[in-house]
Amino acid sequence: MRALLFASSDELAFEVITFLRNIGVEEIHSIAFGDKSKAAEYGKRGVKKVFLLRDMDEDAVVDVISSIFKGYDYLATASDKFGRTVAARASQRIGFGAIMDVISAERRDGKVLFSRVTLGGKAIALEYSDPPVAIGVKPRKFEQAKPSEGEAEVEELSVSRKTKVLERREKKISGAALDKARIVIGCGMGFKSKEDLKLAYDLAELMGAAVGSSRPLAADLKWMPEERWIGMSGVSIKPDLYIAVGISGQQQHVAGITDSKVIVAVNTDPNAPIFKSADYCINQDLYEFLPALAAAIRRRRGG
Amino acid sequence: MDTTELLVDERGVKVEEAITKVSDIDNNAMELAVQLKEKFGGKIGLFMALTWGPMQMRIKEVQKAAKKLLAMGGDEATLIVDEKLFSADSFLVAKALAAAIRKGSFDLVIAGEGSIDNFSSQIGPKVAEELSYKFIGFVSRVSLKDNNIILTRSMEGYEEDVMLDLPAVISVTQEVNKPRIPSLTQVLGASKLPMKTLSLSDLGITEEGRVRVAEIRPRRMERKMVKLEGSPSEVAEKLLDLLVKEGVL
Repeated sequence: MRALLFASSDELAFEVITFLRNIGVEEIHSIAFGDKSKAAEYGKRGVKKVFLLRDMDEDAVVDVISSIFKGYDYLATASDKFGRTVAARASQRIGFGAIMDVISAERRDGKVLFSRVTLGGKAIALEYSDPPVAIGVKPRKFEQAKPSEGEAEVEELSVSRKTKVLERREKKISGAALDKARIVIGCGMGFKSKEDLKLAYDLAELMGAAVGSSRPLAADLKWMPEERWIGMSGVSIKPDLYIAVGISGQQQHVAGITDSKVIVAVNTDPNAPIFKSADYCINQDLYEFLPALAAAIRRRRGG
Repeated sequence: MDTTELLVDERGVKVEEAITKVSDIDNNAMELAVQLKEKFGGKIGLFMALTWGPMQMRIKEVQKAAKKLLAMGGDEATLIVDEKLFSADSFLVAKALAAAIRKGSFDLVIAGEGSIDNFSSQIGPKVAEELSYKFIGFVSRVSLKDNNIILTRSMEGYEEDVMLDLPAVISVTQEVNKPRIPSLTQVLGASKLPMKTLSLSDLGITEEGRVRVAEIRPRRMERKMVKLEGSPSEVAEKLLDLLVKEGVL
């Protein structure tokens, strides 16, 4: 089997290489962005041929894929916003289907079935297609392929941007990465002001936890940077322990926490949906409970 | 579809019992269309494809949802209803929507960034390809500068401003605006607006979808749901004991 790979970053591309090897793809060609030293990194990870582009531009990558996609079984990417957009456009233009957010694959009756989380995180769909098909692998689900021996054939392509970008701003990344943290504390609308989040930060420092939030806190109120937002369209987390504080438990949010080993929910509303997704349900006011929990931890440390 | 009402139990996923609902983000898409119409004039057509059965129950629900959206300030609605679209993939749904949109010669198509049930973010870009329109996804802010429309796209790790150049398909996030709530008069008025229903053969589509679903299985989310009661410090102590026992502290 042969695959053409592209991704918005090398890290994501190397994760997809691992996935492609798992499902038995022998020959991988990849689009990469940058100079020749970049191509060498792909070669060391077993990529046979690299199509090198200077800029990462959605329109340009769609055009390139449409012109070079011949004889491949898969168009493979990571299902971040760039990956899902380019995969959607290129596959539709060429005339094949796309399966996004893939978390695993299995063989059944000679077909490869791709699993993806669907229906707001409540179900797993097993999907298949005759080749070719576009596959978007869920980011940070697979280890990056390690470098070893190997060299890739390089073809440099020149393409021009179609959409003029007036301004580009990097989003600030702050604090420990949520998706790698062992303990995560999530803050919701139960907090009455931005200053009150200190209760969560203090507890986080005691526990060595990372702090995140539900969508409204990050996206609407801007009390936390956007990369702190936990949920289906934000960050998916998989910590040993997740403590949801003052979070009602909208499906958007719950879909991003289901891989947590243990979930604790603190909420004043006994009917908050979060309690249905929690192991330990604490129907208390966070303004009383968080200080009590912090005090209890300190007592144990001291004693 | 409203997945909050979706029932999942041991025997399987009961898609039939869920309530059809417009994804929240679709209200943001309609709000943006209405704001642009108020500013620049024009006509708003609403296009919806029904992708879940059973037909008899769903068709009433989708009509109701369409009326609610039209009441915000739309002009007409087109519903695509065909059993061949039930559980169809985004390849076919996009073909159907694009074929219907093409009949109306619209130069700006606004979609939500993803549907709440699937969130694959595939329909917008695929419709753009079918129409050979530009695609600008994940728009979180729309502003005006010298009568040009500037779109801010919110991507992972960065955001960027681009100028809207027609014809185009754009997808919006929930942050783009606060959808208005239509008045009772508007809701009543929406019932009089034209609404037509088309099948795939009306649209001249004979093609089939590409991706098939072999199985949908409930996702195991068995949580203990243990209530911890007592005073805040009693509960804190109990919780710490349990977390130590679980080996997560």
